[in-house]
Amino acid sequence: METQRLGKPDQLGQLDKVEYEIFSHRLFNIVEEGRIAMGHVSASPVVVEGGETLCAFYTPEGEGFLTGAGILLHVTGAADFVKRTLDWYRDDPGICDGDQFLWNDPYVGGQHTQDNIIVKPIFYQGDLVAWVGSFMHTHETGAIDPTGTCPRATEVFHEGIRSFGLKIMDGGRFRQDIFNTVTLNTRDPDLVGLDHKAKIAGNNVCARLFLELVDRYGLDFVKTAMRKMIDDGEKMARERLRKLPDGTWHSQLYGDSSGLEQRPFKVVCTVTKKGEEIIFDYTGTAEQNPGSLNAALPATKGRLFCVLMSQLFWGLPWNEGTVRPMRLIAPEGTVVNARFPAAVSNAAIGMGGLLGEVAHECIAKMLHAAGGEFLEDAVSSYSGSAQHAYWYGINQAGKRFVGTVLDTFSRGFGATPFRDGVDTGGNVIAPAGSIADVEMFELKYPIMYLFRQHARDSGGPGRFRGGVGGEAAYMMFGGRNVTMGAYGCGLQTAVSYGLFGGYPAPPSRTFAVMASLLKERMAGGWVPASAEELASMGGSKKELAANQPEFAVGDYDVVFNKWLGGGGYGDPLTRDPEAVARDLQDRAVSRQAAEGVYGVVLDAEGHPDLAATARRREEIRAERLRLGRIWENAGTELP
Amino acid sequence: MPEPNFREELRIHDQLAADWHGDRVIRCRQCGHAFGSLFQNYKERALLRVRKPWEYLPDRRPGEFVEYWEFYCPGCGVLLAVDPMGPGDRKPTWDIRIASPPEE
Repeated sequence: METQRLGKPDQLGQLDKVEYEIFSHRLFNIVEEGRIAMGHVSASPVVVEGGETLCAFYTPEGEGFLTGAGILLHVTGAADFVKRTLDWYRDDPGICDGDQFLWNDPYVGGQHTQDNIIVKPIFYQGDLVAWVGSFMHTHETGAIDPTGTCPRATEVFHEGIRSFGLKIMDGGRFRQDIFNTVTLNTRDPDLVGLDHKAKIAGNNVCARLFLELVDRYGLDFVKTAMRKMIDDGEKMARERLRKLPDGTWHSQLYGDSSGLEQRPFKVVCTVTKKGEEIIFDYTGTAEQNPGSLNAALPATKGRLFCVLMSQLFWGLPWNEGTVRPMRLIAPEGTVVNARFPAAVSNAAIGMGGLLGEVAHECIAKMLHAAGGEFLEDAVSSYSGSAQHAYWYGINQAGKRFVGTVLDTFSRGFGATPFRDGVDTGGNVIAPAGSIADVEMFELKYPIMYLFRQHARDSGGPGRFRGGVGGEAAYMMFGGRNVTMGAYGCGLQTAVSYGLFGGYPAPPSRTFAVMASLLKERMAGGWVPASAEELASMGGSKKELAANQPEFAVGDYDVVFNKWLGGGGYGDPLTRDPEAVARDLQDRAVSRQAAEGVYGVVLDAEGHPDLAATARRREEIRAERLRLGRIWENAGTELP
Repeated sequence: MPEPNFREELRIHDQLAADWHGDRVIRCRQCGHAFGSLFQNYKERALLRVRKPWEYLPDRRPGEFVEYWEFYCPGCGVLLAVDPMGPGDRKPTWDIRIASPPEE
């Protein structure tokens, strides 16, 4: 196999600038076409609606030079799969035209076993000229617990089948034996199978269109352009870093679950920026957990790429050149660099949010100190981790199903120095994703939505408040042998930060109400519309742990899930009282929060009394001055 | 609130700034209270109050694993930071250390 190396540096200046721009935009459209093709083949809600999918191109050596607008967690992780394919299989069984390799081991790349990628070498006139990879979060892995993010896992061996570069396409021939093995070992082989075929389709679309570009522009142009894309990414990243102040910023947050039990653990990040380089140092972070609240090193790298692209390097090329100025220090044996064979299935949902938010907070403060054009990017918490409920059983059509809540993809965004955060703004790790489609969800699963709405008080208070998250209630109906569980982080801690006196968003919450009077009351035309009304139905109420092993549920049993919003910015006592009154009217804040944390005095109709508000706020400030103590004078007794 | 002027002051925080070319003392932008050197942790000279988190919520549930350390300006009482702190935390985190200002 002859590997075509990228263009030499002295060729970079010879590219026609206009042709280069057309080429690079066409290439971006190609990975978008690949991503859309995957969405057409897959039937999995997490792919079709949640947008957890991605196509990307890699150099012949496995360096990512362009990725699409899918799930950004996997840009660096996917490159690791290409590199490992080259390392392990170049000679035996060999890498040939028409091959495609299936991977999902989280210690090689990706976040957890649910992240399946198929990488395809692209050959031109017999030589390897590039790779394409199609990535997808697959909703079921045949693990100890349904979905593959496992409340009971203590080792990665519990988290489902792991593929190590299986040649699912061999010289252009589809390998039915491999396909059967990787699908029939799961609880939902039909949808998992479509997911794998979707990735093959995504690769085929991208490779065919890439080769059309090679025909049009010539191989020398394409190779030189690939190098330029990576080099441009690095150059622009360094240029942006030079504009920022040098210094050190520090953040810490707590998780609330080891994966097996509720308990706190700390994640610490120190960011040092000097000149054109930036270091993310997680020294001081807790030792790895016995359960699944851990990240292997590829997952931590992938999350940091996402943090950088969404906050610091937005607008720059999405490739590995852009992160060359970054260095990561993640001590081995901690929750951000767990040792094999630790369970790591919560790397994306639970750990990812934690390790991402501490990095986001440091960057936000650095951008604030830069001021000027960067001030607007000093954003409070994006709402890092949520809790996802899932169900497993026989659906209304008699088929086995595994379904996961996707509404938490509509998290609230953080406030900025100039405005409130976006309510239910989206999922920062998957910019092309969306909230679940209620009708499709109810069609596939024996579940009915009772309500889905913005969640009051779910954004962090501040001069500008965090965008609110949401809440929903799901009623079982028409299934058989249905069980449910949950995974994630952030019920007894908030995986969220506030900025400069703004508060973090409050934590998530999930509970089930079983054997209630709902059936009888619905027969009378009543449908609950809030958590308070769910509590009025009688029955038994079960507060779920962050990682909740399965339990049986039946028709008319209800699960309530509230997911968090964004962090606040600035002292809430400086918020415009009229804005607080609007929040009350819009159900964004409660009267108790309006009066207690914002210090706004409201009349019976919810209008602010400005004079009384000014007095109340003075009282609160006086209370702060009276009860606060200077830390260095407080000794061991903290006030 | 005064408009920021980044050419004259290094605004390390929404409410705190220092004159990099002058005495390099962190001051409150509301009341002028001095927190000490730019190279010291302003939180150690702020007023600290330890609170239960989320106590403003009507549906607050018990069992939280963290406390919120709230830091106020001793001059005017403005809230400067709300930090989640766990059982082993004894010292305010030093969240902002500027080594040099951004390029002009």
